[in-house]
Amino acid sequence: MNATVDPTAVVEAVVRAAARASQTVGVFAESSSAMFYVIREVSKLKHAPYCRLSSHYGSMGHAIAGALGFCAATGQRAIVVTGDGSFDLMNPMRVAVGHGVRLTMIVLNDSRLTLPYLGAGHRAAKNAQATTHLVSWDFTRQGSPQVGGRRVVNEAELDDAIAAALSFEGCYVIDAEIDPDVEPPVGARIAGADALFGTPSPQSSPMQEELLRDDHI
Amino acid sequence: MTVLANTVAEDGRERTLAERQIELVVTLADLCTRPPRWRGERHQLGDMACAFFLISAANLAWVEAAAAHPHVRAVSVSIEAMGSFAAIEASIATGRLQLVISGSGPGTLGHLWAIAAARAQGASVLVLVPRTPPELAGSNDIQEASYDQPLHVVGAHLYDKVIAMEDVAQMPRIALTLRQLFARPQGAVVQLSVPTNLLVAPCPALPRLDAVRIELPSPGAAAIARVAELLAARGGRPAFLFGSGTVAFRDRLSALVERWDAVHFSTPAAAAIVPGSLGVIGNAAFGDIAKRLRELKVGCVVVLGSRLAIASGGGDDALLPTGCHVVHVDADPNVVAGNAVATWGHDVTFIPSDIGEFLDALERTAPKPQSDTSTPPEKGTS
Repeated sequence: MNATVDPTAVVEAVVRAAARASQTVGVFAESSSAMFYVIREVSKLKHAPYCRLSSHYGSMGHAIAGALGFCAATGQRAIVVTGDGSFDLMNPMRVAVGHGVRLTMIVLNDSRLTLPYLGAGHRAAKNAQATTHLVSWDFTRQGSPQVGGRRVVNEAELDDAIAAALSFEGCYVIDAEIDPDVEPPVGARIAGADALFGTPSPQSSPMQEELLRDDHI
Repeated sequence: MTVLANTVAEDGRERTLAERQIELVVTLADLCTRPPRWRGERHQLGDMACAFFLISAANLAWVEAAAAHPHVRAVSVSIEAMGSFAAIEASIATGRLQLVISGSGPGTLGHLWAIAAARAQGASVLVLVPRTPPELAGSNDIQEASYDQPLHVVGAHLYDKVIAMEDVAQMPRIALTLRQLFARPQGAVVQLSVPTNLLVAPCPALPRLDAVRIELPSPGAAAIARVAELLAARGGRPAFLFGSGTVAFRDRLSALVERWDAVHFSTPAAAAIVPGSLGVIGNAAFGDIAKRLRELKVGCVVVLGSRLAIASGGGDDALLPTGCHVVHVDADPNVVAGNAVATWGHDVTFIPSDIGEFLDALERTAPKPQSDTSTPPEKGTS
């Protein structure tokens, strides 16, 4: 098995780096498991960095494209924490380079759509769950020397990669190969999906039992 | 600097409608500025009004005018929704109106993905939409938007207002309508659709928008007295729920919490804006917050600037302790209905107010009397 990094460690390092950066940066989290990690880690700080989420509707693509607008309007740097599925939805890098903005993308890459994977597992929808796997992808290969990038496969590399990204005068991608066994801190949301169908999950699975442990609800 | 939309006399050059509308956006961005949420370093030119667009034949006149204007940053994007999402965050960060220039026909649909979010986030965004000119309407031309192919009105209910312009003579009234809409503390998302043949037509000077002053909604004395009474009531400590609308006022919130010896928690959009939070609703901390509110016998929760449902993230669990009074402060009265389930069985006082005006008014009330609270102060929560 390839080496991976705990997504919690990735997001914690990113948020703390943003909070103590000499030039303040905006932190944006896409409406995926990335958002839940960012909320949790920001909540631990005494003073939060400028942090934006697509609360209310949770519109996919909002954080990625919104960070571009933030950079254009303020002239400052932004970090976007996103999943690999969300990145595909709206890749802004060529536009960002074209306008000379400083956009850093942190990709929590586990080659799957994590929340649908967990939700389908909870509903014992095996066939649906099988559709949530994504082709392995290297997001650092953006096709332009003006986009810096680094793949991160263990925690020891994190701080260096983040420091490189935040000192890079342009756009940068940190592609973090995250451990797929770490569940995002989504609280009761996975179990709450039952409300959409008006019925409990059809059968109990090990994943469901894991999700329903009392530290998750 | 305010760039007035009626400065035609400065150079005597006749303006087209497209040019006049871009000038109007800059004027409105200056006049309708709200407290910015971004407190970091600024752009070397200060906060910018941006024009986000995906260029096409139908929007060419607007793009040309925006790119030529010294106070507009023209930002081309690769997909329509990217421009609208970008405009949301540019508006939230700077507190200024931002512009989206749409394409015609199917291009107008591409924005809808983001328009719903723009309203929910409280952004100020004007979307300019080109329509097919009358003589071509119904010809089933490519990218047509007309009475025959009404793509420009799809999703109209997602906007705060949709204005379909028919004649240049409407512009003075439209300018004042936009002045009123973008002065709202909760922002506004407006679509203005214009037949392309009008865009290059001459447009006379517009009204002096700086002569129109619009006051922010603020609470009355009786409402503030009632809130002060609830906050100072004997028994458990009061609590504040901070939403995204408080982020622009974060420097004042610690003093607010301290003054009323309150506990506090937040929505995700306002996470950790004040140290010592009980947590963030909408994620795994929901149950912990509910438990702490019950333990502390919180009798009053003041919800400030939150459009997120109070029950968000809790499934069927109740957040509010039995008998708890909810005071909800927001410029948008629609947020009350969003919390109907969470506040079921509770007394609710809704105060339609700008958050800054509310904080000002509450600060002017007499200091909280030293009541005999039965609950000792919570370490690290105030």
